[in-house]
Amino acid sequence: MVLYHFLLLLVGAHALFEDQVGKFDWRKQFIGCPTQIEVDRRGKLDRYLMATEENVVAALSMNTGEIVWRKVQEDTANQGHRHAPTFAGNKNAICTVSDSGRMLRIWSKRDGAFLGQLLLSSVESPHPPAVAIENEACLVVAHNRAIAVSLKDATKLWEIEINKSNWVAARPHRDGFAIVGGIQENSEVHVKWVDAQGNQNLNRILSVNSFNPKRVTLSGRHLLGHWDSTLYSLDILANGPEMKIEVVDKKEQILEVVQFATEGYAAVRTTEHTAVLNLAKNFAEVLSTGKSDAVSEFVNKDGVQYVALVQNHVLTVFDLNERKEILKQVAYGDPTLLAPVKKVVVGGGDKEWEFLVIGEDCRMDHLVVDLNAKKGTTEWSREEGLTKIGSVEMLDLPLSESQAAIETEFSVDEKNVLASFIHRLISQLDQFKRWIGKSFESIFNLALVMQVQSSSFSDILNSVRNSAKSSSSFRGYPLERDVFNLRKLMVVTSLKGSIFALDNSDGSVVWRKYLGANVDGLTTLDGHHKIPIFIQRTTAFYNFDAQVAVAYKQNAATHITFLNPMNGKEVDHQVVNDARRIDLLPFVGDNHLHSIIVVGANKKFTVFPSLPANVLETAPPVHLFDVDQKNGKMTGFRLDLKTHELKETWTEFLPQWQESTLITISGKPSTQRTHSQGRVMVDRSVLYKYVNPNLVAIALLGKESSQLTVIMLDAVTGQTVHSARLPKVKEPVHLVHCENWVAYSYWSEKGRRTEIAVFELFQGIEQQHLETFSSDEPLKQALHVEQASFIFSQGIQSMAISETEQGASNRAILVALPFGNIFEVNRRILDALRPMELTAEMREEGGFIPYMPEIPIATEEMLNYNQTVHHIQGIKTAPSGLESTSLVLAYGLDMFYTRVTPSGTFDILKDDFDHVFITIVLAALILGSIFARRMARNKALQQQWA
Amino acid sequence: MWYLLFFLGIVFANEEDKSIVSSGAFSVEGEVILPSEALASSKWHTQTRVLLNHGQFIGFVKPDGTFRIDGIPSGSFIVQVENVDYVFEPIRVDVTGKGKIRARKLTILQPNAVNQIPYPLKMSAREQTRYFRKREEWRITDFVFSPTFLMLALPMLVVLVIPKLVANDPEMQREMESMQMPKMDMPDVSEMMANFFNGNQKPKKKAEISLSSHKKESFVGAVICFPYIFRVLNV
Repeated sequence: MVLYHFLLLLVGAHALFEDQVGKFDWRKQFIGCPTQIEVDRRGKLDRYLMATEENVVAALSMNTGEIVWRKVQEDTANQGHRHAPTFAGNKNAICTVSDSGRMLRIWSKRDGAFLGQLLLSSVESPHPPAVAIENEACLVVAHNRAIAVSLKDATKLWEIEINKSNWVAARPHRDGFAIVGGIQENSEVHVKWVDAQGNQNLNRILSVNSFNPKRVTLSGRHLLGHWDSTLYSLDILANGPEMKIEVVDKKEQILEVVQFATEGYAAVRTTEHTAVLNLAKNFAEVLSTGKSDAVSEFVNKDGVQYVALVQNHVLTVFDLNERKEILKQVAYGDPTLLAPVKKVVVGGGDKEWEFLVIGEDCRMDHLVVDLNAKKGTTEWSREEGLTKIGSVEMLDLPLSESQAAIETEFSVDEKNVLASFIHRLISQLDQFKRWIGKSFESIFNLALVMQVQSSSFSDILNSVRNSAKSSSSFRGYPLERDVFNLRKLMVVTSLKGSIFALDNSDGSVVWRKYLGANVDGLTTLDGHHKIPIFIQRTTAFYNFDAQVAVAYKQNAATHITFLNPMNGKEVDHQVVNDARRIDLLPFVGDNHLHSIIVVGANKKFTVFPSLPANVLETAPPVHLFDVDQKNGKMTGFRLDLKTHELKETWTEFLPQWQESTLITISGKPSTQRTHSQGRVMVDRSVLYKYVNPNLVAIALLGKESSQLTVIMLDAVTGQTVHSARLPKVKEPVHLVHCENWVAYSYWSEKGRRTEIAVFELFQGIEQQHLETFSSDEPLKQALHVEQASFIFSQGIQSMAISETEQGASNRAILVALPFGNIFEVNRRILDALRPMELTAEMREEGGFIPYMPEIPIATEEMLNYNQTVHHIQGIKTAPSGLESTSLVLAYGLDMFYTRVTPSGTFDILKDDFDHVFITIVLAALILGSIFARRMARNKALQQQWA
Repeated sequence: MWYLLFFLGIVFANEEDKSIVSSGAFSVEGEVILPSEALASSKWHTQTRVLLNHGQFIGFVKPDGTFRIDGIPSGSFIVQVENVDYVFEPIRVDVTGKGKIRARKLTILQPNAVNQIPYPLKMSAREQTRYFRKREEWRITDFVFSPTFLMLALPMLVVLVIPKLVANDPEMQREMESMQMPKMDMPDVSEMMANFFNGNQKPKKKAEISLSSHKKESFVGAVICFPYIFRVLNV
C-alpha cells in the first residue's frame, strides 16, 4: 500500500476534484439506430420505446428526447449479428428478442427493471425472430420453434415446433397466438393457432404463389406479399386462396407494405403513389400521388383512424373516417441538411400533432405541429448516426480576424516605413475596437443575467463563470482559435452516411452533411470499415481556407468529397470507379494543399488535385504498402510522380496466414513528434531510440495455435526489424504504436487475465542517423530491444495514446474498460525499462519506478468518473496549443470528451488556482507593510524625542 | 467437502438441462448484495449488470438482486459487477465440461491459487466508489495547529505577552531576579523592524541598551511559561 502511494506521487496521478465535474468534459449518450419504435402513452410520462441496431432497448421521453432508461445488451461487435432486435409490449412489461434471436428478456416498462431472461439458443436464428404478447404471456418464434414464456419471470410455459421456415410472423389471436411460417420452396404458408395453454387448435397449410420472405407483412389477420408490382392478400384464418389487390400499374414498383394496428387495413407505398388498403373489401384507396418516404397509422382515443405521410420532408395527415386532410403539406427543418425520411411515427394527435421522424442517417426529429401551422417545429433531435463512427479528426480553428490582420501586416513586404506604420496603427485600432466591443457585450450579458438571478454574491460569481462558459460556445461567435488552442472542431464521419462537425467544448453539432443513400465505409488494410478523413490543408494559412477530403463508397463506386471543414461547404467532388487505395501525399502542391492519391487497378493512379509541374519535378518518391487479404501477401510499391510510375519493390508473406486473423496494421501518424532522441540511463550513457517513421506494426492472431505474432516491418524496404511471438493468447488484442515503442494488450490463456506487453526499439548507445532517418541505410548494429509485460486486472475495449504538440510531455495510454470507464496509464508505468530493483545509484538519481507486475487501477483515476460510456470502439487524441494537454474523445455507443495532462499542468496555472485568495494575501501584505512602515516611523520619531 | 460439492454440481447440471434449450451451455447464478443505504434507491438494480470475462457474457440483475448468466461454455471466467456507485470484488468461476461450477477468490497474480468460496455467488459491495479526490478545505484550526504557525506564534507570544504578565506580578519579578540566568545578547525585534523599514535613520544607542535589558526578562518568562502555553494551545 505504501509503495502504491509512493507510485502515485511519482507519476502525478490524474484525479479530479468534485467541483471540476463537467468543466472540461462532456458525455453524450446514444441508443443507436432504431429498428422498432412504439409509442407508450400509458404512464405518467409519454415515451417512445425503441429497440436499436446496437442491441439496446430504451425508453425516450417524448417531451425532451432524453433517455428515461436504457438497457445495453450484448455488444454487436462480439459475434455475428444478422437480425435486428425486436420487441412487443403490454401495459407493464416488454418482451425483447435480441442478439440475433439468441436471447429473450423481459423488462418492466416503467423503469426498465429486469424481470427475467431465457436463452433461446447459443447460435443465430436461421430466420428473423418474431415476438407477440397476449395475456401475461410472451410468444417468441425463433430457431423454428415457438416458445411462450411468462411475463413475470420469463419461465417457459410451453414450446412447439414449427416447420422449417424462411420467415415467421406472430400475432395475438383469441387469447392465444396465431403463428405464421413461410416456406419458400413449395410456396406454402403454415398457419397455427395456439391457445394460451399451448394447445394447437388450428393447423393449416395454405399454398400461395410468390410470397417472398423479404416482402411479406402480417397486418392483422391478413398476410400481404408483394412482388414487383403485384400485391397479394391472404386471410390466414380463412380458407380462401390469396387475393390479388389491384393497386398499381405495371410500370410501378411496390416499395413497402406498412402494417396497421387496425384490423383489416394496411398501407402500400409504390414508386408512383401511396394507398391505404382495405383488406376486408379488397381494394386500395390512393391517398397521394408521387413517391412518399414513410407512412404511419395513428388511432386516437375515440378510435378515429389517421394516416400520416412524409414526402420530401413535408408532412400530411389524413383522417380516414372523414376522408379529409387534417394537416396539409407541413414542412419542417431544413430539407437541404436532412437525409430522406426512413420512418415516421405519430406520437399523438389532437389539436397538436407530434411526430417522430427517422432519417436514413438515423437522425431522429421530434416535431410538433399545430393544426393551423404552416411549419412544424422541431422540439428535439438526436443524432444516432454518431454511434457508428467511421473516423474522427480534430482540427484547429482558424485564426481570428485580428490575429489574421497581424499576420497580414507582417506578410506585406512594403518598403515604405510610413505605410507600414499606418498599417500597424490601423490594425491596433481595430484590435482596440474589438476588445471594447467584446467587453461591452460581456458586461451587458452579465448585467442581464444578474437582473434575472438573485443577487447573493455566490450567485453573481456563478453567473460570471457561466457567462464565460456560454460565450465559449459557437452561438453568435465566429469560429475562432482561442489563446491555448484548446477549442477545436471535431470532424466526424458516420457509417450511416453523414459527416458532422462537433464543437469540442460541448459536443454540439456545428454543421452536418448527408452524403446520400447507400453510403458504405472503405475497408482498411486490417479489415475495418472506415470513412477516412484526410486533412489536406490545416487552418494554419490565414489566406486559405482549410480543406479536408472524405472518401466513401456509394453504389460500388468510390466517392471523394472535398470540403471546407469549418462550414461544411463542398469544394469539389470526385467519383472513382476502381479505387484500390486512397491516401494523402506527404508533400504539398499549389496553395499548401496536400493532394489525394487514388491507386486503381493495374497500378494506375490519379492525383486530386493534380500537382503542378515544378512540384512533380522535385517530388520525392513515395512508398506504399499493401496487404492482400486473400493470401497474406505484403507488397511494397514505389511511386514515382516524375515518371508517373508505380513499381513493386518487395514482396513478403505474412506467416501462417491461413489460420490467422489480422488484428491490426498500425503505422505512426506523420504529424507525431518525438521530442527526445534518446533515453538517459542511470550511468549517464544515452540509449538512442530507433525512431523509424516508416515502421509498421502488424499483429496476427492464430486461430488454432492461439499464437500472437507482432511484426515490426519497415514499409519501405520490407525488412522485418523485430518480431515477437506469444503463445496461448486469445482475443481481444489491441495494439498501439508510437515513437519507438509498441504496447499491446491480450487475453492470456495461461494466466487467464488481461496482460499488456510493451517493447521498445533502441539503436544502442551510438546514434546512427544524426540528421534525417533513411530506411535504405542498413543498420550498423543489431537493434537493442527492451521488453516487459504487465498484468492488467480489467478487460480492454479500446486503447490509444495521448498526443501533445511537441511530444515532450509523457505519453499516456488511454484504455476503455468494459464497465464503462476510461483509464489513463502513464507511460512511465508502462515502461519496458523499469528496473527490477532500485540500486543505490538509481535512488540517488531519482525518478525510477521499480518493476511491479500489476498495473494499479484506482477508481479515482478514471477519466470519466461516474459518467460511464459503453461499447467504446475507438479513442481519438489530438494535441492542443498547450504542451501539457492532450484532447481525448472516446466514442462507441456513447461519446466522452475530456483533456488529459499526463505530466501535470506544468505550463498553465492549475484550474483550481485560487486567484481570490492570492489577491487577498497580496493586498494584506502590501497594506501590512505600509502600516508597519508608518508605525516604525512613528516609533523612531518618538525615540528621537525621548 | 469435496463430496458435497460434487453433489451440488450434479444438481445444478441437472437444472441446466431442464432450463437450457441448447446443450453444452451452462449458467452462472448468484446474487448482488448492496448495503442497505443503497437499496433505498429503487433504481439500483436497473443500473447494475454482471459481466463475465469483461463483457464476453452479460447478465442483468432482478429487483431482488439475483442474476443468472446463460449460455456459458465450460471454462474459467471472471465475474464482475458493473455498478457506478459501488465497488465489487471480482470472483473467478470455473465451469467443467460436465457443468460443475466452483467459485473462488480471484487473485490476478496467482491464477491457479484455489481459495474456494460458496456457489451460487454472493457478490457484496466492498465500498462506495470514490471518483474524486477530496479538496483540501482551508480551516482556521488547520492553520493554527500547523507546526510552522506554532513555531512563529510561540516566540511572538513570548516577546509580546510574557513581559506584561511578569510586570504585573511583583512576586514573580522577584523570583526571577533571584534566578541565575545565562546572559544573552538578543537583538531586538522592533529595532530590527525599524531598521528594516527606515534603513537610513540610525536609532540612538541609548534606546538599544534599555531595550536589550528588557529582553532578558522576557526570555526568562518564556522558560517558565512554556508548559503552560502548550496546554492552552492543545485544548
